[in-house]
Amino acid sequence: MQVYGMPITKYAPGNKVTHLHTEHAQTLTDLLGQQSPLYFKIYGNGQLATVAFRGTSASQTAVLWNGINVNSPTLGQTDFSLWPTFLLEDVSLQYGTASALYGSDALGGSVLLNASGPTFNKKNILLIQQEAGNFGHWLSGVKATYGTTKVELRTKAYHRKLENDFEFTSPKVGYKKKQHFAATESFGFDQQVFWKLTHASELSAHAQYTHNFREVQPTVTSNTAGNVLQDNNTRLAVTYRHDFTSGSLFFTGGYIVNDQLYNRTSRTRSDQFTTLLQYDFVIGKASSIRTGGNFTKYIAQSDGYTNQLHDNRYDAFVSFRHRVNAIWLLSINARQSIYQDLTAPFSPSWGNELTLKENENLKLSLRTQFGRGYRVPTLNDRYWVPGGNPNLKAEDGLQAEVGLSFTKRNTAKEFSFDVTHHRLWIDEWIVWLPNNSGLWTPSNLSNVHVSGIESQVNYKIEYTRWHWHTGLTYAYTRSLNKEGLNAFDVATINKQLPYVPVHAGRAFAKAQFKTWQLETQAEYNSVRYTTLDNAPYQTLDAYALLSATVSKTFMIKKTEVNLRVQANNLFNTYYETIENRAMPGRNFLITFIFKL
Amino acid sequence: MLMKIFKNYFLPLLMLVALTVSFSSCKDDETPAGEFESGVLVVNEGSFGKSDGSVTYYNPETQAAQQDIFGIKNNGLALGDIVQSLTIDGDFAYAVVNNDNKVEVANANTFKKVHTISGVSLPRYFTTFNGKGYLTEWVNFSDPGRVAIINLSSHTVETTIATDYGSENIIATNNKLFVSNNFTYTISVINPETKAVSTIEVANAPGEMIVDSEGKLWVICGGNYGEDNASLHRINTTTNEVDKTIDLGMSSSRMATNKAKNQLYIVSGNSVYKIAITDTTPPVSAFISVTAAVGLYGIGVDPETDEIYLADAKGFVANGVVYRYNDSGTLVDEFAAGKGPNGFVFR
Repeated sequence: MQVYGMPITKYAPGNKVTHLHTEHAQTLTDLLGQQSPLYFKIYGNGQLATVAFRGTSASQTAVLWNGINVNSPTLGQTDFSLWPTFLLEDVSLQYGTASALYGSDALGGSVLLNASGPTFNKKNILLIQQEAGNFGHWLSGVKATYGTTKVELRTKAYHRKLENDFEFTSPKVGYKKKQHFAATESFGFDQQVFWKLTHASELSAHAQYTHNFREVQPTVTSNTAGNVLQDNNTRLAVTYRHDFTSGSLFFTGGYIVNDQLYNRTSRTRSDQFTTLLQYDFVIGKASSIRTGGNFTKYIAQSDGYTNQLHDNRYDAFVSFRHRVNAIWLLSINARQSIYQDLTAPFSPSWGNELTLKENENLKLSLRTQFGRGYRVPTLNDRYWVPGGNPNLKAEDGLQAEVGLSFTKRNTAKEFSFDVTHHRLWIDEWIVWLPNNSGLWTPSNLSNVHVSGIESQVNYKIEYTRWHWHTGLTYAYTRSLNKEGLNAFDVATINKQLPYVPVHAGRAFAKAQFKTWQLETQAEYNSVRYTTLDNAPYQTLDAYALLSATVSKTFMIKKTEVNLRVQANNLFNTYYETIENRAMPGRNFLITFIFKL
Repeated sequence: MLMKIFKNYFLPLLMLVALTVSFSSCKDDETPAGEFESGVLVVNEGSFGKSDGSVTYYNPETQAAQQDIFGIKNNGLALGDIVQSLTIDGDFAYAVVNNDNKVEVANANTFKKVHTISGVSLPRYFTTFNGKGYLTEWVNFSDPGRVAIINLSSHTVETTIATDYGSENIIATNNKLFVSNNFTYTISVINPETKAVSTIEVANAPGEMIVDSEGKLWVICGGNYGEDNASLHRINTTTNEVDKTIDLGMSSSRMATNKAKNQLYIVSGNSVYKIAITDTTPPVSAFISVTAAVGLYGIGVDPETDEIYLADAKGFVANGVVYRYNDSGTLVDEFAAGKGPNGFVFR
């Protein structure tokens, strides 16, 4: 069996999945924000950034690194500013509920971070990148790939510095103000080893360490230094695959450390051990089954916990994929998770892909997907002292979606169109509120109904030596609160959740001519509310951003050199993704990449 | 960490600054000095780290509420991050903005911005006495707090007086300044002439203070966070001694007094309890229970009408709501406030 090349989403027909290109993106925030209609809450340039799919929250987004859920067990979400894209290889987004496949948190969507498959081709590559930009942005990085036909090694290292002294003109301040106290500095290493042990087995090891220091960018009204955060993240994973005649055995062992120091004194640290074992085998000509389980142990300590916390999670899962006929491909998945002594909602899913028409020039297919998802309450939700509630239930979601995908191509042109309608009902949504003694405590209070449409159009054309590629993405999202804050509260019912734009659009156009490449990107987010009663005077204005890149590749002797000049926020628009955290105006970035 | 912030910020609330506007003897044909010259101002502290603090203006006669009057009158300027308190002295309104380390000074009648007092650290409450401003500051979470003496013409800090950890509310009475030190068990007493400081021991987390009709100072101590052990302490301001203590057996950090200053109103959970200044035991039954409230966060009593205003912060998830009751405890009106309403100023 050829495993690499097989999509990680093999058991996800019926789901909407997109693959992103990691080259030339400074951060994962930039990458995901530019290429998909996801909503990022960004607390400033290079600052805390969380992402949400389809009108849900950041903690309802599963983030998997080599198949391991890497959401912080204490806060339940991932800060994407701690995931430098320079160290990443393969990024995929899976929209919608997928707890049956990925476990906890996969309610709104999932971000899948994986190593790209080894080539074992003995080709040694050395890549050196140097980048400079406005506001004191410097990035230096090096990547090396080397090895034999049996072993492949990849080494990466980077250092990034950002002064972040940009000027902004927030109406809340009333004059042109320079951002202070928002500098960040980070560095990281990544080492990967792939061994082809035998023709039927392979072992890989992944080790990543990142260090990030930041001054937490204060709000626009602040004139004084805020807090500082230091994050050290260690991520280790070992994967082993053994192929048998009709199946493959996979093992993954992971160790993840999130170590955060707040104001140089208050430490929150979590250690996560994950083991994952699964067997994927073929039955007959049209079916395959994957079954397995995983075990995760979390150990966490924080000023908010009385003791060191230990939390165990056990998952068992099974997936079935069956091609009924040339038209119909289906999958049925199910997972049961147990955390501490509690049982998470049993999560099945059922996906279908109907290829209505397919030939050399045309493909029309219909997708449907139904699933149940869950989110296990975080350690803070359960054990924070005071207020944590150990009896919290997992958040529980039911999702249905239907999608239509159409592609038409000939030798020089390709047109594709994709539209999806999705609905998601999330119950037991966890909310922290004060109790009668003034104590803040979480409960499974809320209930949210999301419905939306996502559509995408792409057009590619080759004309003499020109390659054109243009695309447009639009998402319409209604994410409505269905439960009042208490029995008498009606002001928040049927209101859009804060920070969910109803309309979001992305567009790009790329042109390639010989060794030249031009690209422009546009991003639009409509008005966002900041409160659950949707008070109109407290909204964040809609904004549109435009960026452009010119790049040229040339050879100096035997070295391939790529020079890129990127201009971001060309119209110098003042915008915010979270209330009163300034984002930079027009800025430029110049990048040299040397490939030896 | 977030919870620590909650803990630090969900502390006792605004002391009532009741300013009686005398209009009965006014014979001049004066035009009003501004649209906010009389009425009720609601202090909305806002969510931590969002800079969405604001002031709501409410007209008790028309029952109309206007949100974010500082923003409206100043081309959209934000008042700032955690507007802890608002004090009016003469024609000036002093908005103490805790997390922005500043005091915004506005014209009290028009709410046009006048000045910003900066160079203060985690300021909390402000009062004036004998032509000087006195501002409490937490300073930070590891050092003792202090009181900054503010020159009211230059709006600058003249000097500071060291107090105790978490200096919170401040009240001037009997020619002394009393400061509740919220992270401690103490009240600091400042002699404004000599700047000498003495200390009175009360109970855990002293906060709001009231001077009653007999000139005695009442302090409410919140007790331990999330526990039902708040207490009231009555201080003789001449001897600086506690002469009465009432263990409330409930959680509370908010109180107000009536026009006659012989009655205290205590907020606990979503209820208001009445205590006469002559009482020696805690109240048994609630005077008002606001069943619709998500979490009461502030109380004010109109010193003219004895009407009771209760602020529901809606858990900071949505904007707050204010419930207005008459002196017999009947709901008169209900109106929208901003994010996290914590107190009132009556004009």
